[in-house]
Amino acid sequence: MRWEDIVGQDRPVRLLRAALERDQLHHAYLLAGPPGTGKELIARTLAQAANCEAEDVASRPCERCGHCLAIARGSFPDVQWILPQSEMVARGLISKADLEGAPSKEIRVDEVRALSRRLSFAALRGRRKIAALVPADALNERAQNALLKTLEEPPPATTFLLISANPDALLPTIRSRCARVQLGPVSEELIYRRLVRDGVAEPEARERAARAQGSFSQALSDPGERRSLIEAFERALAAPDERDALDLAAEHSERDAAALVAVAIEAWTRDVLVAQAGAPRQLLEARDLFDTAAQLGARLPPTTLLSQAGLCARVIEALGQNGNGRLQLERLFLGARELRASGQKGNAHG
Amino acid sequence: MELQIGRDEFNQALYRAQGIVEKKSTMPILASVLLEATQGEGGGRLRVSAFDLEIGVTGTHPAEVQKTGSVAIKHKELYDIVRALPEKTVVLRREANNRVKITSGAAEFNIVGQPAEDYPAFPRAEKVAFVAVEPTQLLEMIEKTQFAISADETRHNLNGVYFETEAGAVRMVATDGHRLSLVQRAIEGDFGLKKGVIVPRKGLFELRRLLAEDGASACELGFTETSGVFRRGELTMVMRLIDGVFPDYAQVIPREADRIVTVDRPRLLETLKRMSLLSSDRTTNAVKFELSEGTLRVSSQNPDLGDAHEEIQVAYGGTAMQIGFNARYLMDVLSVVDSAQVNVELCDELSPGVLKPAGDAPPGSRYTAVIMPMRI
Repeated sequence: MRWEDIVGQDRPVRLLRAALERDQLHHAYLLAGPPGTGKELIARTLAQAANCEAEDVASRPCERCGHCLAIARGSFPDVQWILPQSEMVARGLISKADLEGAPSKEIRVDEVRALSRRLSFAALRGRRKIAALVPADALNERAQNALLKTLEEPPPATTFLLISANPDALLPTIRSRCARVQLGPVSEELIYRRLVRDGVAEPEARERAARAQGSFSQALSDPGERRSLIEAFERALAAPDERDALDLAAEHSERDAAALVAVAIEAWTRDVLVAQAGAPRQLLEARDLFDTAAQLGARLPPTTLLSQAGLCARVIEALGQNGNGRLQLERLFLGARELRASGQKGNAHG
Repeated sequence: MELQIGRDEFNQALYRAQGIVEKKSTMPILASVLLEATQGEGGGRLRVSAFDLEIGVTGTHPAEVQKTGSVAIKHKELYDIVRALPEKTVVLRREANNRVKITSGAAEFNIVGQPAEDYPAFPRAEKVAFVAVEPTQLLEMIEKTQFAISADETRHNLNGVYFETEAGAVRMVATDGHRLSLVQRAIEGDFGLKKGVIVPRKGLFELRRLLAEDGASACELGFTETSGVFRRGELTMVMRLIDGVFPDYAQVIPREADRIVTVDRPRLLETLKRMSLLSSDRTTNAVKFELSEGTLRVSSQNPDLGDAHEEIQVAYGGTAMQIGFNARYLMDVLSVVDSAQVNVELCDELSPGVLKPAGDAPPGSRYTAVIMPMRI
């Protein structure tokens, strides 16, 4: 992608372009920002611009030369993307059958060592070797310490791009050795325009842009699913027995799917609290469910909702630490049912 | 792409690639081999290449090419299939979506391939000034230096062998900071190197493997700015060079020695093997040399086990001294030197020791090992 086509990140783009044009690229950048704001896109564009064959520096990347095309395909030998196995499986780069065990969510120390060995070679085709760590917070502590050595004495003509939505999870020593490039949430207006350009109808585009929280990837994801999920959740909570709740947990038993469900329920809980506080429709993420949220808000005491939000947070944390997807969702759904039952009796507990 | 090739020929090409393809890499396509069918003046060829971003091996093989083209296929699956084929010939055909049909006799396989464009571009090996090398001599030079390469992955410039040329000779040097091994041999031809290059360990290892499997055929070696290129017949191996500055090794080689001891090489090697059995620390393998007129006393001790000593008759007429060494470092050198006797050159107990084969070397030839002493 051309620099001009990167939307909503003017400051980071300006900073990196200026460094490229003066040929003063740092040896390491920490591209920090919320998910879906263009970190990887900027990393790829930077890699292309640093190796583009176009004569005119200002027009790099040209997107047409052999180097630009190879980087876009991921087959350029001097640009390396280091991803955890789970991410490679999720992106369809490898299949689970290629791996011996379960795909690792971490970038491990031997991968960092192999990377720094490869970086010790002279660049094959390009002018600058680029190593992107996606995401950098997937590096476990040993891997970060191994990377530290390379960051301290970087190989010649090399730039590391550490991509992270959660830069505080990195060791302070790593952070302090990178130039930080902060990406902000993309404005609702820009997301809206992009959705309209992609052919999304006017009112829906507005609604999705609002729900996106400044994230392109969230805006582009399917909106219908979240709504039906929330409705199924509320039905299961209102049902006379636990069967629906258990079925819903079984439906999303895979860990990553379960985590998405828990995050959606957490956002929904916030929406109900916001509606309860008397806020207008625009402040909700799920604007289409404003009426449901308002009704629930009128019926449930705030303590019940706050306890439900706390429960969501604990479930999300447990899933992040390899908790069982189905069990954690059962914990969430059954726990929320109990909270509702006791909350309506008027003795909510925290 | 459509072609027919001998099963055994194809099998051999895939066997070569085996050591190169990466099973678990950050670039998944590196688990594949690249197949390219070409039609030239000498008939059809199938080129089989593997590249792990560090080393690339490519070979061309005669084939009956009906249709040129290229595709990448996962090495393991392809190799397993080819080895199990029933007939002596095999037909490869690329179909839609980079699927590849492999037929041999009545057996037919349809396997998933990947577009050749996704395979990373090989280091360029054009415009290389190739020099004919004697396989056995190159193998010998690798064996005489490889053991001294540093295992410390953070010191990239020491993770390989330094290769430089001097009028009519090539020199290879490796060091890990504790010991250094230098070998020089006469060679005809000009590599066109402006300065020395560092050839990484893995590249040397693969080169050694290729040289060991065939010591008779003519070989060539050459360098580009970024890679070393080895060629033998239809086989080409490319190794990327380490981007770094090799230390000024000439500084650490003592110019002259106060004491020179000539000792029987196999005898010293045997003695060191025995004495190091009782070294107090298995990793440092410390042994003590006590030198007096006509005798070298080698000893080791371990506070938990006991001690050992052995005396060797040597040609030495100087004053007495003692010095400590890591026996492993000495044994590494003594194992690769071929002369019957070696000269051990020493100054004092804190200066490095130098090992050289005794006797006159042929013109242009030289071998020197430098070993740092240990305080005992």
